[in-house]
Amino acid sequence: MRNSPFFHFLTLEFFKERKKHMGVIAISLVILFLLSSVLFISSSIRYSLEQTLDQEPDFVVQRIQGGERVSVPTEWMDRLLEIHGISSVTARVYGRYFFKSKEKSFLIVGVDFMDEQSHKALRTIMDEVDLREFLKGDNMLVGGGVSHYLKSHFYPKGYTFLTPKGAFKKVHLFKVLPRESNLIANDMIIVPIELAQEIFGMNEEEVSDITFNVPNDDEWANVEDKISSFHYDLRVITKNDIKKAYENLYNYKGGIFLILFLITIVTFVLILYQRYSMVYSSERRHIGLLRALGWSINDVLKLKFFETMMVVIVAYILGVGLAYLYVFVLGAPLLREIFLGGANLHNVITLVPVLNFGILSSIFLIYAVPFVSAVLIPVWKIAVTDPKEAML
Amino acid sequence: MIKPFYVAGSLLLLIIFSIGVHYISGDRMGITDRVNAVASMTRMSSPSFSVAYYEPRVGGTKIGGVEKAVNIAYPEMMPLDRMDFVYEK
Amino acid sequence: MTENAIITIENLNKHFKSGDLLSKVLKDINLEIERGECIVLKGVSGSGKTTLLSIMGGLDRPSSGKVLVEGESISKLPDLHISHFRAQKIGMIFQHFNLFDHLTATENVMIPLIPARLSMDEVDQKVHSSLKLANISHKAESTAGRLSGGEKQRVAIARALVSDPAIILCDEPTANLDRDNSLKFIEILGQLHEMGKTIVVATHDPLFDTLSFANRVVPMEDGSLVGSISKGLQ
Repeated sequence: MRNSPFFHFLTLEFFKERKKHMGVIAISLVILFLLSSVLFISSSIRYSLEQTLDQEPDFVVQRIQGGERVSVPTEWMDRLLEIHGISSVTARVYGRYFFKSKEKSFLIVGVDFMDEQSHKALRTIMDEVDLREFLKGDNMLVGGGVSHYLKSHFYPKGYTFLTPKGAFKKVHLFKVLPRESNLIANDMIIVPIELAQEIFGMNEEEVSDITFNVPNDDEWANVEDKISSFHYDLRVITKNDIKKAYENLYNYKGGIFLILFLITIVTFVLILYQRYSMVYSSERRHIGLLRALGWSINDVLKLKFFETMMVVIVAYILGVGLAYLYVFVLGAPLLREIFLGGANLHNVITLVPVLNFGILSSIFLIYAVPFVSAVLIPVWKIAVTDPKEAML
Repeated sequence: MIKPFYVAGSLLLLIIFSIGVHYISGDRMGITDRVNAVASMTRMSSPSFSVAYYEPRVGGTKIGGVEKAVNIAYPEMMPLDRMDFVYEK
Repeated sequence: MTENAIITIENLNKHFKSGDLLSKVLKDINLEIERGECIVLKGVSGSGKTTLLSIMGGLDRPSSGKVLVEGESISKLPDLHISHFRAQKIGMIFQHFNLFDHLTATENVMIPLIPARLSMDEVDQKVHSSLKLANISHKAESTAGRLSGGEKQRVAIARALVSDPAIILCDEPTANLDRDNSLKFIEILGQLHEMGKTIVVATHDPLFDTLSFANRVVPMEDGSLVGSISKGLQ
């Protein structure tokens, strides 16, 4: 290849006419950059959420009265434990606390810190948290969004919650959860389970809902039927329902991206059309002359194919490379807002680098195939005409 | 092949190489582990993108580091979520 | 067909169709050119000499009739063969030089050799000797766009000679040159003739009337050959 006059001529032509190619590369780069960035962000968030789905319990049991979710008595836990095949029955206490005029809300979650699993998990999240100190008083661990919001509204040290019983409960801000956990913990306030019950006005025998696992997948439908017949106002949510909810979330976001994709595709088609007509008019003489000097149709097609592939590969590497830098190194400023713009609290998430071969190859195919065809078809059309006619 | 081609080719290879190095050396597990730990501790894994229709959107309303909630119907009205008129800065 | 004929044209017709209108550009041409001969096709613009030259060079196809080059009919050859024929046997010099302005003289001259799959060293060697033959070696690294008309024409000659073709076809080669450069061009043409190349020049330039080395002047009028003035081998 190094000693080949063909490749010498190819690279020579490419560099001598770089101004012509630069424009095409620049436009392609913008399109590839946008397309790759969007796909990188969505695949990264999707990857992280799919990972957390493994931690999700198989079943959640809630109580609905008058269409509204109400507290569940803890005695239901004992009844659930009697069913064969059920394990890890756990109570959850959580709820949305609306902060002033219902404009913003925090998700308050009560955690049983005496439980070993919670204990271990807390140590993974933050190394330096002193649990004994934390449990001594009314303390809370807050997500990045909550901390930011409280600080900007002059509550840097804690917040006084108003319970449904009309009493005030002052809770000290103990620590802020690390930024890496913002994907799910941004608007979260983690407090001991008893404190959460107090803030939501629940008594000790009440919890928000109960979760449990059924290790045998084949038993899922069976268990769901049994539990549903327990009580008239009971609602059972399975892990599959949560998965579906995630998909709905993606479809909602997907709508915005569908528009973005459509705009990208329309732009791309316009560029292709422009490229098509440009090849036809300006390169007609060029190709005719090559043919007159003894180049066959195959030689001309080979030259133009390699030339176009060089444009495609340069634009692809630069576009995808820039998108990688923008998304995974800089954290996708601005574009991230399309994903998180609807968020309750301002969220700065850390995107996990995810490079999926499927995504990379589909970006390449979406771009390269129409682009190469838009060049090669007119080139072929010119090359098959008599050189004298093409040179006119 | 001409010299500028080798230069440009080397630059592109450098980009691919840098991406590869960043991808391999990035603290991917550190991030996912922390997210998973929160999910495991709270037994909740819903993403923090609450999208209730009546909640104001944050994107684009953040000015000078402080979120600004403006009532579109009454733009001159004092935003409801501000306390700076009560407490001095 | 004589034994020494390199190009034989038999009953050649060329017409173009534009709607219902049929315009006949070449009418019943019969011509035989011998190896090493130098022929001047003379005629005013539109007399059909460029079209005849294009058909001889395999750049265009006749509507009817035959063109034989070294005994082989080129009128109906498939693309790969006709391209090979053009690359190996024909050296073409155009009226507007038809150089790639963004490339240097050397790069322009190497173009016909690229499909031949030679090594870079072989190409360099051939290009170098061809530039020398056309007396333009001193401008080898100059961009074609920056050369004068005469220099461009010499690069075009070097390009036509690079694959050592047996036939050189020149289409109005001096139309864009001043008198001095035209004379220099004729001088180089004379050298090529001495080397034994078969040369066909299509021109209306009176300078070629007195060409000492031309074997024949063939006048063309309205798509037909009107006799031929033989000057005898010199």
